[in-house]
Amino acid sequence: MKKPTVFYPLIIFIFLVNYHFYSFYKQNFFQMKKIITKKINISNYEAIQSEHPYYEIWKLAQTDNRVFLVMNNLDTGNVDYTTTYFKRLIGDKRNYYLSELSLFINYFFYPRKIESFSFDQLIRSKNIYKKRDIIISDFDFDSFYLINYKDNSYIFKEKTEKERQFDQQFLSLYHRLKNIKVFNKNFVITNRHKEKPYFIYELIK
Amino acid sequence: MLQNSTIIMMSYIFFLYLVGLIVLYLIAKKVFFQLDFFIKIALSWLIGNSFLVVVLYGFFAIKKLDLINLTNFYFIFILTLVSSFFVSIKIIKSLNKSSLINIIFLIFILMFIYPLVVDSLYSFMLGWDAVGVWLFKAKVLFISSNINSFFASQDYLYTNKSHPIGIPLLISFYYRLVNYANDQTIQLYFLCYFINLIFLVFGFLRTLFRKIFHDLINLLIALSLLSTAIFINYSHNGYVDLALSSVFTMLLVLVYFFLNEKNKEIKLEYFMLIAISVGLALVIKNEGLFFTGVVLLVTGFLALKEGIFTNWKKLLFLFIILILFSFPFIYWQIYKYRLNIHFHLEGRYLPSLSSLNRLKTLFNYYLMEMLNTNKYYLTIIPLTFLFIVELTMSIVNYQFKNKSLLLLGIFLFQIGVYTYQYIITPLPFIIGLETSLERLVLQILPCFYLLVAIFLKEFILLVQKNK
Repeated sequence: MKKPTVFYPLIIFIFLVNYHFYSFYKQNFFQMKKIITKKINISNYEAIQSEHPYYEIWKLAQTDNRVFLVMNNLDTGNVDYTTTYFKRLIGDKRNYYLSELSLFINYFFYPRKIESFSFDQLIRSKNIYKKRDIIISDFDFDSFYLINYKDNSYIFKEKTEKERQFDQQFLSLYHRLKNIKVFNKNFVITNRHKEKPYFIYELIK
Repeated sequence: MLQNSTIIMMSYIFFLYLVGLIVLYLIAKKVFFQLDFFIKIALSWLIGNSFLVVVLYGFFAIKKLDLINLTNFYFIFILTLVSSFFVSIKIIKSLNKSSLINIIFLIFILMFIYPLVVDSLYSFMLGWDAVGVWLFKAKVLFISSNINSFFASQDYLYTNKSHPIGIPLLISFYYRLVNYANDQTIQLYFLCYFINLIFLVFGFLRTLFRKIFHDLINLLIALSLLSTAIFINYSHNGYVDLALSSVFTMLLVLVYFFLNEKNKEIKLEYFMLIAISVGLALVIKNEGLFFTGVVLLVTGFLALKEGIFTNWKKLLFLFIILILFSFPFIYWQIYKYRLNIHFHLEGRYLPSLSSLNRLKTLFNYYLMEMLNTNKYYLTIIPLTFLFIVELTMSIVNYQFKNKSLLLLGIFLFQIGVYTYQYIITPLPFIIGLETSLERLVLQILPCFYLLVAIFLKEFILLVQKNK
C-alpha cells in the first residue's frame, strides 16, 4: 500500500502547535523544581509543601495544639460550587457548605475532627479556649478590631446589654491573640483561582 | 538525588508492571506474542493494578491491611522477580530488529513526558476531588484497617463514600510502604496511567496503520492527541478520571481485537483480558459500571454466538478469572448495603418532565466543550469533521454490518449514560455540569480518538478498493 505522505506536513504542523503549548507547562514545572531545590534545611516533603497555599494549616496539623475553626463566610451570596448536596444516612437531604479552607483542614488534620464555629459563636463561648490554642478563621479579627474598637468610640455608642457583653468578650479574647502570618508563596500556579484569605491566631495567655 | 520515597515508588510501579506481565503471559500466551510491544506494556500495567486491587480488597475485607509493610513488600517483590524469570527468557528469545526501534521510541516518549515526571516529584496536591475524595480515603485506609466508623459516620459526606475504593487502596498500599501519607510522590503513580495511555494509543495506531503511516508519524499523532491541556492537567493531579479513561480505552482496543480475531482460542484469551480490565474499571469509579456492562454484554453475546467456549480447561480458567476479578465489585456492593452508603442518584432513576428541559442546555454545553480549543487545541474540531465524513462514507457504501459500528454503539451508549445522569441529578444542575463535564469528556476522549482512527482505516481501504 502506498503511504499517504501528503498528510505528513499537516501532522507535523499539528504536533508542533501542540508541543508549543505543552512547552509552556514545561517551563512552569521546572520553575517549581528550581524553587524547591534551594530549600536545603528542611525535608524534601516539607520543602514542596511550603509552597502549598495552605502550608500553614498543614504545619499546624503536625502539632497537638487544640484548634478552633471560624467559618463566618456562610451567606447565601457566597454559595457557589463550594456548596454541596448530599444524601444523609438518616433523615432528609440537606445542603452542606464546604469551603476550600475546611476541605484542607479536614484533610490535613484527619483523624482529628476540627469543629467549626461562626465568629459570633466563638466570641460568646468564653472559657472554652486556653493558652496555645489555635484559631483558624476566614474572618480577619484585626480588621474587625480596627474598624470597631481601635479609637474607643464604641463605648459611647448606645448598645444593648447583649452587645456590650459581646464587645467585652471580643476584646478579652482579642488581646490574648497573636497573629500567625500566612506568607505569600513563591510559586504561582497556572490556571488556578486565588485562594480566599484565611487567618491564624494563637492564644498566648 | 533520588529520595527514598521516590525509590520505593519506582519499585512499586515496577512491581505492578511485573505482576501484570506475568499474569498476561500465564493467561493469554498467544495474545502475549501477538500484541504490539507498547500495548503489551500498557496492558501489563492495568492487569498488575487489577490483580493487586483484588488482593487489597481481600485484605480490606478481613481487616488485615496492616500486613502491608516495606519488608513484606520487598520479600514479595523478589519472589515476583524470580518467578518472572521464565517470562524474561521468552521475551529475550523473541527479541529482534524491531525491538531496538521499540526501545528508541520508548526513550523518546519518556523524554517527552519527563517534565511531567519532574512536576510529579516537585509539586503538591491541590485538586478538590483529589484531596476531598481519593487521597482522603487513602489516608483513612492508611491510618486504620478498620474504617467502618468512617463510612458509617455522618461526617465527611463530601468524600463521595459510595465510589469504589480501588484507587484509594492502591494509594494506601504505597503510604504503608513509606509509612506516611506521602501525597506528593503518589503523583508518579497517577502519571503512570497517562504514560500507559500514550503507549496504548501509539501501539494501537501502529497496529492499525502499519502499512499506511510511518511509525514516527503514528507517534507524532499519538503525542499530538494526548499532549493537550486537558490531559496534562489531569495527568497526575490526583483525579481518577484519567485512570478510568485509560481502562475504557484499553477495553475498546481489546474489544476491537476480539471482534476482528478469527481464531477461537485467541478470541477466548481476549475475552479473559476484557474480563480483567472490566474488573479494574468497576473499582475505579461508579461511571465504570455502564461502560463495562455494555462491553461484557456485547462480547459475551458474541462469544456465545460464535461458540468460543470449547476448551474446557480455558473455560474453567475464565470462570476463576470472572469470580476473582468481580470479587472487589461484589464485596463493595455488599459493604455499601450493610453500612447504608448511598449514591446521590439513588431513588431518582426516572426524569421528571421539567428536568427534560435540561436537554437543550446540555446540548449547548456539549457543543461549547467540543469547540473549546483552550483545552483540546486542534484535536476535537478537525477530528469531528473527519469522523462525520467517515461515517457518511460508511452509510453511503451500505457498510451496516461493519463490526466497528458496535464500538461506536458502546461509545454512544456511554455518552447517553452521562446525559441521562445530568437529566436526573438532584445536584445543582448548571454548577454540576460546569464542574464535571470536562472530566466526563476526559473519560471517553481517547476512545473517540481511536474510533476516528478505526473508521479512518476503513475509509482508506474503501477508497483504495473503489479505485
